[in-house]
Amino acid sequence: MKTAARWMAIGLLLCSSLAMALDVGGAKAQGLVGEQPDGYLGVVKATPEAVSLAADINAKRREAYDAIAKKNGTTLDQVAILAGQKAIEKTPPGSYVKAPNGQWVKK
Amino acid sequence: MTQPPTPPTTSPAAHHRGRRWLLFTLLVLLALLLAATAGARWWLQQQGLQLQGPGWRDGGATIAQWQWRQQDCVAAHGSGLRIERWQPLTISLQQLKLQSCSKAGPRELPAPPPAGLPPFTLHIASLQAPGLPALAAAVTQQNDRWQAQLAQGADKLALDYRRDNGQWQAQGTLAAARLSPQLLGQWQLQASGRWLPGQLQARVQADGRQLGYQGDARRGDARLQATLHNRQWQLEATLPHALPLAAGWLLQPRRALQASGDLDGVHSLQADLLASGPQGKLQLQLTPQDHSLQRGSGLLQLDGKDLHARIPLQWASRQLTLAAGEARLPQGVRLSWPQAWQLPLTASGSSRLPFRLDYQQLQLSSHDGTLRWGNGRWQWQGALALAGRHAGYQLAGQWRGQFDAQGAHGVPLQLKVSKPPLALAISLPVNAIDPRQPVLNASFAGHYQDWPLKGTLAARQQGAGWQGRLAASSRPPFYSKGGALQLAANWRGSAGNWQLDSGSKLDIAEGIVGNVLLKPLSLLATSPLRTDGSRAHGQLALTAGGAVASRWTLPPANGTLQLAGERASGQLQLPAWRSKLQLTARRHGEGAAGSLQLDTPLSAAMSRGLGVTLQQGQLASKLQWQWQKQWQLNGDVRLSDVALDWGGILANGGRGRLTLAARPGQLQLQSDGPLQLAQLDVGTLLQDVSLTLRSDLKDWQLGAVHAKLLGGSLQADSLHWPSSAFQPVTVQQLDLAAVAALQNDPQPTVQLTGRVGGTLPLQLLPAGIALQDGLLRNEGELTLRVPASAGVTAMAQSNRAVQLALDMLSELDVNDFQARLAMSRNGLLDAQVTLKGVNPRQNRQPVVLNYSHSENVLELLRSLRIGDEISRRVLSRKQSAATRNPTPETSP
Repeated sequence: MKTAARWMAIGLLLCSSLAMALDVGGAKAQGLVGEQPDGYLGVVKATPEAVSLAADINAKRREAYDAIAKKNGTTLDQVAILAGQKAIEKTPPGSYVKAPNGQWVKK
Repeated sequence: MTQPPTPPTTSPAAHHRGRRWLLFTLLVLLALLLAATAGARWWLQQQGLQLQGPGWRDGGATIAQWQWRQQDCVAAHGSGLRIERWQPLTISLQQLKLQSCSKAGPRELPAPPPAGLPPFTLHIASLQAPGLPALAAAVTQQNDRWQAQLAQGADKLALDYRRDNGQWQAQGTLAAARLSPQLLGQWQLQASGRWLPGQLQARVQADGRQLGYQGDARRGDARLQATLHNRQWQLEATLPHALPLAAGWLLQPRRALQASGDLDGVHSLQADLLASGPQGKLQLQLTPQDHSLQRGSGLLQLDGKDLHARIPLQWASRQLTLAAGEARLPQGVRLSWPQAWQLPLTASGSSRLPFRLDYQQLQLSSHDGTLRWGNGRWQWQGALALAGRHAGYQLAGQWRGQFDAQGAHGVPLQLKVSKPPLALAISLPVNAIDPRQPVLNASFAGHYQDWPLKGTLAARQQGAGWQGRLAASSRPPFYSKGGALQLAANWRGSAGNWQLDSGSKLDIAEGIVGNVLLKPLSLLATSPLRTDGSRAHGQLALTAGGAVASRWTLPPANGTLQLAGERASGQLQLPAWRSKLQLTARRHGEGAAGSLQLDTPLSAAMSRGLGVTLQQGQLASKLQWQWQKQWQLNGDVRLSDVALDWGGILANGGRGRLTLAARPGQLQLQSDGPLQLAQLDVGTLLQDVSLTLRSDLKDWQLGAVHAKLLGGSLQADSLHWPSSAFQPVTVQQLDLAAVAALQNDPQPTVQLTGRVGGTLPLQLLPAGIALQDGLLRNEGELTLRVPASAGVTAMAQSNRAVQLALDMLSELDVNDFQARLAMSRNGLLDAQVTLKGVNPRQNRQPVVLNYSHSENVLELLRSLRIGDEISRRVLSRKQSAATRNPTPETSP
């Protein structure tokens, strides 16, 4: 039962990104947004569309991280950081990711 | 009986012959009429008279338009001519406009009207002549006697002229206000003379009565006497009493002016004019150099506190020359002309008048300006250049064109205004400006700091002030995209007292600031906004669409802002969050100060950018702010009924009060009294948490920490985070039964009773906790029970040593418990536990149990708590350092 709940939580997290995958993918390809170590999408080149997209995606991600944290008795930030590491690993080459020094670099 | 007379009979041939003669006669008459008409038209054209639109209306002939040309000049043209009667001839004219066709060269005496004209009467509704206002005129002529009445309003002039002997006389009255609206009093005119071909004589006397100037109670009289003998004239002006002039000036009584000349100009002039006023005295003295008065010299002197000039002048050969010089005028204005001004003493002429006006650090100059006059008109033409500095603004402007009494014509006035960081280029078209009712439409472009500025300003005079419309656009420089700013306002006022009308609006479109998307924002004046340059009064309404950032949003807001001189107050609401903000501001020294009050419930919607989710609560803050060379903020923040979570860590029942002190780069938070939490669930429930806090958001100092924990309590006098020091945390009376209950197993393997306590020196690091030399001891007797269960039995059967250990531990009364704890900053926990006690089931045989345990707590937590996939990724990157090595020892 606990395992099932965890898988549901992970699924929720992934779906939140997949739901906007095309838009996010396009924005990443254009260098407008990138993944950050804190688990949230960051704005690389600020445009109204990029900021709105990042805000929408991040709101959904936060809901997902919060659900996982509550189910596992850990903190939201811990889950977000773990998810951020995962998201950066999954980022395809050529897209921007935020380096530990806070600079945007192309992966 | 007589025969009745027989009517004469004519033969048919004779009758037919008579009809032919009649027809012939009619044809001849018609031909003569046509010939006469054509001849008259030809004659009129030869005389320069052209008619258009002849017609017939109400029994009278009409001519819509006509004009009289002298060579290429239209000397007169009229409209609406109608012949009212033929006997005597009565003509009415709607309009007659006379223009001067005089050419360069000596002027000729006007010729009298022709003699022997048939009687006629002429009514002119509007007679316009150069230098005169529109007049109504009525002229009658009968038997060579001409009589005319000219009128404008209450002013009348009656003329009587006899063509046969040339005698004429005139008398009339004229209100001084006709000459200029500010003048008071009345002029009476008496004139007589003789006017025959080649001969014109006139004696004119004008008496001014009760002359004065509006706003000045003083009155005076004046007399002008002039004679004209053919081409020669003489003029004498005397002042029996002081004559008030404008702006408090008085022309002193004396025989002020004597002049003579001919129709083409002034031959002689002798004047001694003395005027005195608030700024000083003006005296003009003219002295002829010879008896013929053909040449002479004079002096124009201005003397006074703010007035000084000494301008030698001379005239000769009908030319007046003012020597190069300068004049100091009121308001600190200095007029100078580097070259002599030469003014022809003629009725028409021109003169080049280079000049320069200095006002403070401003200079207005013209090098090629030329003044032309003639036919009662004047015109200035040339280029003007403005340069210098005023009120700290650098000004540079130029204009070329001409202006006269009707206004200015020329290229748009170009003016550059700069005072870093402001720079503006202003363009003002002048062609449509009527000096009597000036309407200005200027456009401007430039920048203020990094704010581009562009717009239009319309202005027109309204009473003593001005009003108009301002439309400006800009873009705040901190917007990287969008953020177009539009200002649309109607304004009015006069120097030092300006107003933006209610309805004036400032809009800022959606745009990007940094990485934040600011939604559209507008400020609307809901009352007139008045300012005297340093203070403002009025009310504004604010509507803001909110803001969106990648991690947070601000919902739409609305509010009002009241300006009251040196004070201002505002209210702002965020309906989506039910937040209310009240702001006051007042001038404070060279800066401003005020208060800020925020009342808001806490909600999850506010938490999008935080690592914590606010579930409920109330925040109320009262802050005082100040802004001079730098800003600062001081006050307190009250929290009540706060519930929040960090995900799996829950807290509720939070309350307390914090004082806040902030200035650039510095923030201090300090609790005022204890901060309290009813419950804090970090996996283990802490209750009644109480602490004091002091922080600058980098260093956190907790004091008087106290909490109920596992049936006992936790306390620390002081905790500093982050810190490399080990800081003691004391736990007391921890209930081992509560500790055992953490297993959350209905049939626990181990049952514990009793209480422990001790000290846990903690090192609170930026990203973790370390423990060194922690020691927990029993506080009273402890009991340890390992009830028989399938698992325990299986363990016992697996190994004899384990069986012995479990037998000894199955029921143990512990009188000495020590647990030495240490945990490195990477989470590796070492526990050394020693239990000393007796087993009551085995004859109270003493038992000593030494237990050691090592575990990477962080990885254990992750492995237990985090989702499988995530934790696997974490663990795969780190070698497990965890070991479980329970080594029970028993001793007899």
